[in-house]
Amino acid sequence: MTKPILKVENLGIRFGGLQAVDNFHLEIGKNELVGLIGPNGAGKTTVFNMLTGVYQPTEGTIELEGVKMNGKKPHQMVEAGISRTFQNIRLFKKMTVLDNVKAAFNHKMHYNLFESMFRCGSYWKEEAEVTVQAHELLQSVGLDEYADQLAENLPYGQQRKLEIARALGTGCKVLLLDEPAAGMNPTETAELMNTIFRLREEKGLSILLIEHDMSLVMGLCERLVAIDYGRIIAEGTPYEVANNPKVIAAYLGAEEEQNAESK
Amino acid sequence: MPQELIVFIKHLINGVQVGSIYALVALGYTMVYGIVKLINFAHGDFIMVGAYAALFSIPVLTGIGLPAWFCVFVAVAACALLGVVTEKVAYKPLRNSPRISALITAIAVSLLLQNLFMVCFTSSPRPFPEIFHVPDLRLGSIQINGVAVLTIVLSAVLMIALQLFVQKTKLGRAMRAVSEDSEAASLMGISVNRTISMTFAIGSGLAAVASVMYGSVYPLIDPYMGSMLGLKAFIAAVLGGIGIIPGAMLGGLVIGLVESLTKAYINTQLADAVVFGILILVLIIKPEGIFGKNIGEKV
Repeated sequence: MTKPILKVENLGIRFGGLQAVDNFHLEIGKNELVGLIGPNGAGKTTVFNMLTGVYQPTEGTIELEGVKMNGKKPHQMVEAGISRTFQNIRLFKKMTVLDNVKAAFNHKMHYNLFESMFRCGSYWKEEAEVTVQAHELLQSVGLDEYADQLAENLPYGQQRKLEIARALGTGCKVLLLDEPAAGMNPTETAELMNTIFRLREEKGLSILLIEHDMSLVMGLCERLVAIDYGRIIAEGTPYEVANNPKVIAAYLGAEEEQNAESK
Repeated sequence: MPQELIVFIKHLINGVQVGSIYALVALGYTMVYGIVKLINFAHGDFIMVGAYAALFSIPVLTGIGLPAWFCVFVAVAACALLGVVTEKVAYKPLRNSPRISALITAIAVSLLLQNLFMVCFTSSPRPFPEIFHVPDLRLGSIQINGVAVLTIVLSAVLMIALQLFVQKTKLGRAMRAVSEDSEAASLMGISVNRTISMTFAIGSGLAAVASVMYGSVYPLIDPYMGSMLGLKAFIAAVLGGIGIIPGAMLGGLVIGLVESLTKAYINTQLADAVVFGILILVLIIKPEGIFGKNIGEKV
């Protein structure tokens, strides 16, 4: 693997007496698609929350392109190039589809309060540029025809795509997808996965994908990391991980006693 | 034109004039509520601070040869700063506390400002000079006070500008995004703290404009002037639907008209009672306000 874009070492977080994530490590190279799997409650979303600055890890380091990211706030993480979607859709529902995407461009726009108020200077130029770019992004996920509708009026599957378009609007290098196919039927899921694949190629993205449905990530990711109770229990190719006895146990709920002890 | 009609139209214009002032103040309540879900009860007292800032700046401004109405800019700057500082010092530390804590703090800030100004500048009312020299407008047999026209036009311009700002600029988008889901907004690269500060600055700045216009209609200012004006503007914001910008504008106009017509045709002393009666009615019949929850844009 070439030099990793995102490098995470010894990452851990403790909430009071609960070690939610412990000794987590991960490296994602450019253009790589890595899956993070594990049963419900394993700590997948907690890892995401640390990678995006929502939670501050109590141990370990996060490096993006060699720069240490610990202690950064969410909006600074975005500026640095990490963006995400949400497991439970969190669009700006009362805003139009286009404005949702444009909101993600905000941190790259430089005109100031004065120029906004009097609509002079670079206001028109920047707004026009961003509008064009936002339309392009909407086109690439097939939502451009809905640009002027309110986000809440989109069908569920389209809202998921809009979340991806919005995350890409930040201009991220690393995209974190939190169960992007949750609640979708198989046809919609297949279409979404195609879109994700295509966007990765077009934009040279590195993607970390959370999914608890094993079958879904098997065909998609080059590499899988499986966690349970906040610890990595297996990593490697999808085939290796899927056949790892610990992973099977975690999914099938065997070794209950051992798990109960480790809690 | 019959005399009664002329009088009626004059009362209407008075109502719209006062209503536009209420609307400007109500915008501050509604914007702040939209973004941090806090009724900033100190907002009325920001008006009072704005009025004092304007009053004290007039001699300085005329001293250096500027027209007296430049005091509007001084008031806006003072109030915007006060709004931002109040948010940082008093409200931000309580952002994750129960809402009632922040509400009580807002009342405390209100009392603090009133009493601070009473100690510093005494409670005796000070006259506010006439700063706008606008000729009266004649429409047929109706003569309209020039300051009234100025107040109405200025408020309308500011409200349109605000609406464009919120709908069409990146800062407006940031405000709308933060008001819907501040965490998701921050994860899309929007600085929540900066957006909240800016909202307080704009809301307080509008209150400052209102303070100068108010001083031009009722030319006496004292440390308590903000509490009644603030309360009425708050009712206007609730009437229109708190958190909804067009609602605050409409609510302000309605309250102003009701007050003016009550004074004219029922009883001067009943005006406040009728206005507060409206609050009770709204809360009983349609607590989400005229524009409800689903129409219009939240900020």
